[in-house]
Amino acid sequence: MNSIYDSRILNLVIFSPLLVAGLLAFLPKNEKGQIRALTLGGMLLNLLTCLWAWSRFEPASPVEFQLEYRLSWIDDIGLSYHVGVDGLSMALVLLTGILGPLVVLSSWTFVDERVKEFHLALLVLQTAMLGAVCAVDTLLFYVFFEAMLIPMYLLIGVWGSEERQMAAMKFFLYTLVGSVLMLVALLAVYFIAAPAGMRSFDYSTLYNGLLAANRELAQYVKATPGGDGAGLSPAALALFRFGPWMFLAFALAFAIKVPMFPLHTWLPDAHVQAPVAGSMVLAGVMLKMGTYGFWRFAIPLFPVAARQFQLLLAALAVVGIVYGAFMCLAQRDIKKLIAYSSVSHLGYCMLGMAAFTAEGATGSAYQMLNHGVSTGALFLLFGFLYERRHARLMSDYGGIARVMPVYTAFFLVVTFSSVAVPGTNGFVGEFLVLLGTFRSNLPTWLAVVATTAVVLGAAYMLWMVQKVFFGPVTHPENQALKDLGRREVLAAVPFLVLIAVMGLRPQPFLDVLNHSTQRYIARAQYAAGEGSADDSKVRVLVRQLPKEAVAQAAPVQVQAPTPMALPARPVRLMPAMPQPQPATP
Amino acid sequence: MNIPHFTFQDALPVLPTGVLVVGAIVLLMSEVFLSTQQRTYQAVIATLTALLAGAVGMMNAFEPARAVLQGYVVLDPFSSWMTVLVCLGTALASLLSAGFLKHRNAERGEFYALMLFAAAGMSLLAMSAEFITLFINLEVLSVATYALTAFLRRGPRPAEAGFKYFILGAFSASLLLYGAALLYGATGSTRLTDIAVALPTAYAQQPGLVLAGFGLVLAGFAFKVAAVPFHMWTPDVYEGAPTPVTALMSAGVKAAAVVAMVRTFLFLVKGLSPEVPFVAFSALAFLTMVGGNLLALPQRNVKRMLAYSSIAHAGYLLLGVAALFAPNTAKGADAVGVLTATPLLGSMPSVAGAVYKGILFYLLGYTVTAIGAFGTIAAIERREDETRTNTWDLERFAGLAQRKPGWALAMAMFMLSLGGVPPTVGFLGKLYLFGAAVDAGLLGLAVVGILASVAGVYYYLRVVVYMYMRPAPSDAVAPVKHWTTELALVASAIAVVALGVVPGPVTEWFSRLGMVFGS
Amino acid sequence: MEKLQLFFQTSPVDAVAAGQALWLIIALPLLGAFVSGVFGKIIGRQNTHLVAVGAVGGSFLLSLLVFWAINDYRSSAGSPFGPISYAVGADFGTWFSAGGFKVTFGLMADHLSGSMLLVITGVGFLIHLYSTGYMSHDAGYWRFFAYLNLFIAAMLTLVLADSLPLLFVGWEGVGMCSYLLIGFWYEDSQKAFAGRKAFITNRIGDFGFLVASFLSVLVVESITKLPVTSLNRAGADGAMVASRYANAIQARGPLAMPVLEETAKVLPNLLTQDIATGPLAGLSYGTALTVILLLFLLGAAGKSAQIPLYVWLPDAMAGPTPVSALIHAATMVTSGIYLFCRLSYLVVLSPAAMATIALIGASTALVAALIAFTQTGIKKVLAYSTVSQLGFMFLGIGVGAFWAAFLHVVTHAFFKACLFLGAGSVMHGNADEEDITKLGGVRKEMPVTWATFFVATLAITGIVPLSGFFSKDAILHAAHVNGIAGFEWAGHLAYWLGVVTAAGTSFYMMRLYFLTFEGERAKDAKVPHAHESSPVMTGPLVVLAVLSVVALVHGLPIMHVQKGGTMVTQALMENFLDPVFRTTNDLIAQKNFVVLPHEHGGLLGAYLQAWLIAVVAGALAFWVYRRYLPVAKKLPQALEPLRKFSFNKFYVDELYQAVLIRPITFVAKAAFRLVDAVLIDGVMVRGTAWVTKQTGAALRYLQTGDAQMYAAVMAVALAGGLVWALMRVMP
Repeated sequence: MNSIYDSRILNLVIFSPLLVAGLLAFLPKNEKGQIRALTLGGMLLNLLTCLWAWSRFEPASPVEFQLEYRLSWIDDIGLSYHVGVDGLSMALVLLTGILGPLVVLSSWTFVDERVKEFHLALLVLQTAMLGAVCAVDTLLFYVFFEAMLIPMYLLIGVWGSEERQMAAMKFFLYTLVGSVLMLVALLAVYFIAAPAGMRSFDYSTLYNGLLAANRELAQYVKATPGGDGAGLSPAALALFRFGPWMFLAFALAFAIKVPMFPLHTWLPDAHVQAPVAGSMVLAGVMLKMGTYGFWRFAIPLFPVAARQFQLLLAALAVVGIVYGAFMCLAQRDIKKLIAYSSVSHLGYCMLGMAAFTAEGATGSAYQMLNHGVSTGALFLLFGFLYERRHARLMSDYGGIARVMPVYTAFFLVVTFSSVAVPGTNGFVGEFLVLLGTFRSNLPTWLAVVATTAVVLGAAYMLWMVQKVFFGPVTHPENQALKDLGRREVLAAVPFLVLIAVMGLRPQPFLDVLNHSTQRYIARAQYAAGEGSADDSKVRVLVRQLPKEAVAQAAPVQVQAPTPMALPARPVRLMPAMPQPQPATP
Repeated sequence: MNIPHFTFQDALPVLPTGVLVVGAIVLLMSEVFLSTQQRTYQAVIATLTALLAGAVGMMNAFEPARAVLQGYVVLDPFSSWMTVLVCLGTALASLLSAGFLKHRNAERGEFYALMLFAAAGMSLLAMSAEFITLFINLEVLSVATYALTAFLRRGPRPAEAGFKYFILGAFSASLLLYGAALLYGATGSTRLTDIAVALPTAYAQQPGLVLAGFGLVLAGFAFKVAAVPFHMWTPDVYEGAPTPVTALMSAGVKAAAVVAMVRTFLFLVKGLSPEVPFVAFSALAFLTMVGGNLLALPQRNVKRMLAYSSIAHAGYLLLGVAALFAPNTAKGADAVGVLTATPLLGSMPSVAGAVYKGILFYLLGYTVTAIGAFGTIAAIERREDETRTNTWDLERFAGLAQRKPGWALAMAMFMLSLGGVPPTVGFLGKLYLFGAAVDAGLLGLAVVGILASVAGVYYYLRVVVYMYMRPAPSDAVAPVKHWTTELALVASAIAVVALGVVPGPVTEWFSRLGMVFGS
Repeated sequence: MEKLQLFFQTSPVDAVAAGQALWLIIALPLLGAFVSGVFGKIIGRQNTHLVAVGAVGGSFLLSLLVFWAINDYRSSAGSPFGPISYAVGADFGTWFSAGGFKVTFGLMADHLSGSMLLVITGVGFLIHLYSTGYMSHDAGYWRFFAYLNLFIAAMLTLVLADSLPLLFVGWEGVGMCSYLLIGFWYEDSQKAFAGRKAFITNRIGDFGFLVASFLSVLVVESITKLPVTSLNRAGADGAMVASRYANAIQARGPLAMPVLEETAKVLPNLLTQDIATGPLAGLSYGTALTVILLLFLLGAAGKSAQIPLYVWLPDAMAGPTPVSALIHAATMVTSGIYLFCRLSYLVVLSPAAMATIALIGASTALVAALIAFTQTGIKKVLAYSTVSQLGFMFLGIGVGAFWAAFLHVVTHAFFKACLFLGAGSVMHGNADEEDITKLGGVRKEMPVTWATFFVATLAITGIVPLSGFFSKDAILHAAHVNGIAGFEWAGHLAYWLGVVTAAGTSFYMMRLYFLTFEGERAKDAKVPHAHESSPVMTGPLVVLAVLSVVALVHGLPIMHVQKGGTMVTQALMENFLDPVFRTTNDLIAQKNFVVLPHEHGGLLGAYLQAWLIAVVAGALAFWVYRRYLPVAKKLPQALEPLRKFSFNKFYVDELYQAVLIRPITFVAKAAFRLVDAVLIDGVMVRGTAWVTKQTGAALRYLQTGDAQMYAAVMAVALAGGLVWALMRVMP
């Protein structure tokens, strides 16, 4: 943390894609080659900055938000441009950075009209996603969270397939409904967490502001279950009365994004209609925003409410796991199948989080990365096939293994990672999540049910593999399919490497995640009276703004008017009473 | 009786108005004495006048709040900023008009003069603190806009629109006047300060009379603000009026009316049982937010859709006003409802400052956005198509992104800002207003409003869909290019984004202390 | 003699070095797999053979060295609970750790895994060699050898792993490889399907394995929370045990083998006690242990093709024959038995689990044998006989004769591999003819194949003095004399089932032999004359045949050792595995859940009786297939339905199809159509949108464009508002 650059890295990480987009805007729109090259270069540059940040990140350091940078922005509402990364967001940043160039490679030839806009959208999207995971200010997070929608909306709606407009609109509105309700809840938290004058949307302000109230409420709930909240301090009372609602509002926003059953129906449509790049980003990073939101905001801010809804969350997660798997068994459309498998996999993330155990949380965080890698890879690979055949049904394929052996090998490896064969990345995540669930206070049968997905997952993935790759070549048009080219191999190999590395040497990643999982658990357990009640473990410590900025965020007091200059002729005048006035019976 | 002596102080608030009027007269003169074909200079003059007036208004904006002209007029940042906004709107609108009128070869000095007169009326309306003054200014403003609405005489639409507007406007104005009369009867004064003083006793004696006056005045304003169910004229008039005029009306008139309404009722609620104004305003806000958005939903006619959307936006403003009048009682604090206030921390915080700031900022944002949006429409519509009803149809925007990326981008910006999607000024404005509402405990209303705004996003996005995701039709018309139009659009587009990302000093200006006289 | 013994017991490499080198044994085939998989096409067939065979050969040599080191009386592997004698091992660092959980790359080779090493690499080597001939015409050779090497690596991981999660890596790895190899000829949908079936059935087992592991973690954790006094046991102070236990978990994770062994040591006093903390609170340790073992049994049943999960193995014969020999006879399918030998110290603590294992094993053995009676595919018969033999092994586990079960693993590896390779050779020589009714008289054309096949057949049927006889009859003997405390009846039942199966075994094996090799050639044979296979194929056959004879030495009761004061005679294998099962034997002695006979008397009787059974059944087969059928041409009408029933495998596949697979797919489709499409997407999502839109459309009708109407609305609204206000404020 000594280098002067450290506090600036994240700005590079977030905005380098935007800068490149700025350059891109000046390229003539028919210079497709140059546009692609420039975008690829920009993404690689971005990846470099991410790696730089990763190298500067100190897993062992007790500081929660590292590489922190803070700048006063809109002072009168206490909004500051405040970025920083803890273990989880660091990992997600790296994931996003790695996916960037691969996404560009994936659609090198796939997208051929309106190339410029396409790549602009990609770059803007990259910035929005990185900003969202780096933001330490909740409103800043919200802004990026929403800003993600527009480019993704365009990606699906402009470059998607037949039903694209419906899918895009569905995606946009579905997500928006959740997030606007979250905004209302966020405002409520903002007003509860701090008195007028101290208010700020900064995560630290919100979390620390609620800390005392949460503790009081937790003890109250423990002491008098089913009490009416009498005798609580105003803040605690507010949490007691509105906490569950605010939690649900946050949860709704993120549950839609994850997506959790039964809010998942936008995902299959979006995935099916989106172009390869869209699906990759969507599955790879964007869905993580939901789980990340739970991890960072929904659960820590409202530990008591979260505790109340723990069983519900876990149950929905398990339903998602099994139900998603069942849906996969019912699909004929390959992309739909992969989309539903995402529902199933992200169910694991949610389950691990809802278990409130160290293993579960670690597994959940790791599963986020795994899913980004393996499902991203699945979409990438299928994208190659789709580009050749423009068909999505399994029945359109069969016997591909004979025509495209290399491709098949790649796909098989990714499949095994997706069904979590030990030795691949998927296994570590699933194992930890399930272990954490078994160790948690959740009913054991729930964990057992979740484990059945081990079988179902294999069932649907291998079924799909057999339909597509094995058997005789049934369609003549498949006879002539060309195997992967150099560029495609280049785009796919990193995924295989990641799958192997993350499967065999997960520890470095887990070390990075370690501190944030501990904090997450401490914050989640904070409500239960379990865990230690001393705030030092959970309190969020961040760099403060320079003083004058805080001073400007002073309360807006409405004064009584200055008495009017009296004219010569006496006019009956009295200073008016200040608003709002006391009630008259 | 000796004449009250006035100082220069008393003249300050009317200075901008003076500038506007002078400018208007100059324009009228120009019609008489100059007879060139090239008349863009008129737009330039109008714009410059408006900007100058705005600058003067800005100087006033930092004066402390006080009453002048014997308390008939107040000088406070609230009204002064209002003047600035109105002038800004007028400037943009007249820039738009240049290209619009040229295309219909209807460029006349009167048009701009009327615009400036209307602006003057708005500015004065915002600062009137006495019913007669208020009424006269209202009429100044209204008459000007009636005339503007029917300015393009050819074709049935303008005439019908103008006539309808006139009839209903007169009706509503009479309501307001009647209400004022009743209040005068109850309190013996037309000056708001005096009414405020006398009201409690009067209310105690004859509540019916006071409430009737209260309601009638409210109705009068609700009409100008276009609050449901007093909104019904809006779509017809907005559609019929020349688009730049529509822009001016949707931005300026509404803004002035809202400000005047806030000022008036700050005084009129004294002594009333507090939940009467609160419920009245929350009900209006509720109906307006929901009704406006729902009505806009099925519209294919973009101009009409924007008319409804302007109603919806009035609803968001009314939400802020309702927060202003939230009763400071523990009553209803146990149930979250649409018409109840549930303070988060039990006791009602003081949200007035936040509300004023919110209203002003929202109006600023809406002014630039709406004028931009209407400007784009104005450039795309065709005089000759107005008989055919497709002139404002969504199809007009199909494939605009390929044909005119710049225009499409700007329009997309305006739409997203109207929808309140970050990082645009529309989002920030909503944030302020809804923040105030939540702070005041209007949770139910805030949730309803925010959900309604999602419905709004749907129909705004549909325009984006057509621009970006639909192929251009064979008979696609290119927008009329005119440097003034483009200047206006670029300016407002930049403002939409810039104000959304770095509101910079503006919010700080708007949060000056003691903004409203009488609060 | 002593000299020889000493030579075997003093290895050139010291234990530490051997332990450090263990990873090489796995790495070599892994490297081979990578090379032949990625570059196989480029470097050509011969080089690929070289790489693949060389890799396995190399790790065979390494295994020999390691085995030697294990035999060294000075050798010992480090463990948190003090050194383990007759073992080598090393810890290669953390795999992953989170919260209180940890897994390390710990490898360990003792007499048990050491012997497995030799079997895997040895038999594996021979089969690789054989495959170079067998696959000589296949274009996919590089894939084949890559998979095969990969399999060897996975299997070695399985046996060397020193913790359950790492063992699970091998466990699933072998499953994956068998999936790939069964479906090797993927262009035939049937074969691809067989592969998938195998993998998914295995996955069902793995589900059990995983849950069992998780529950074990919970048990271990709850023990750490116990008061130290409750850990007191003979010769160990509770506090000391607790601290070592904690350290061990800290160092190697709760699922490391040493930790589990220590758990077994502390459990005996706790079995009846209820678990106090954690999710399992309220369950008694005994019950928890039984549940865990039964779940492991599910896992083992998946891998080792026991009821109810055996259905995949016969279909697995779709793979190339060497694969069937290596994976589905010699190695992978025995990993279930290996697992239970590893966890024997836990097994002997739960009589209920033991009884279940014994009965499952016995009934599997019988059912498989019955099905084998009527199968006509040469490999199918062998497949069912494999299932049946595996059943025997489980029977052995169940009655606590772990050494016998393992001995059968070894001997079975030899003769069953020999049989499969022989079958492959027969098919190779007869234009891939599988149907034994279309063969016959091969004896003369393929002498080597015939000889080896004959030896192996005798071995499996248990004719004195071949290896199969000793191993199988050791199991039967144990079943006869050992008693499972509280479940004696199960033991007896299992024994009789075993005896019947033994008879059945020799019947169907002899049937197979006679139909294939004896008599004259069938009319509808594909080729008039078979040709003997190349030496590269027959070579391994010979070696395996020899091995399946000489393996008998393991079974000879030649070791005389002091046990509890008395001199007892042990079979070589029993004595050899004694260090592995020391804890187990202690626990048996301590809890007497397995009642062992005091003296090994009546040995001869039992052996004789088994021998008679084999001979009689064999003779019967001879009579039926050489004398009766050639004349009568068909079975008596009465037996026909039975034959059909058995020929169709008792319709088990159809049953599963009906009760499991169809319902699941139906539910899935129904849920997709109803819940997802209609309920959520249709009603909830689109419904909301639709309602909103309709309301908007309805409201438009108020917008008539009629000014009077507008005014009226205003007036009404105003009036309404006023009325409301007045009603509110008027007294």
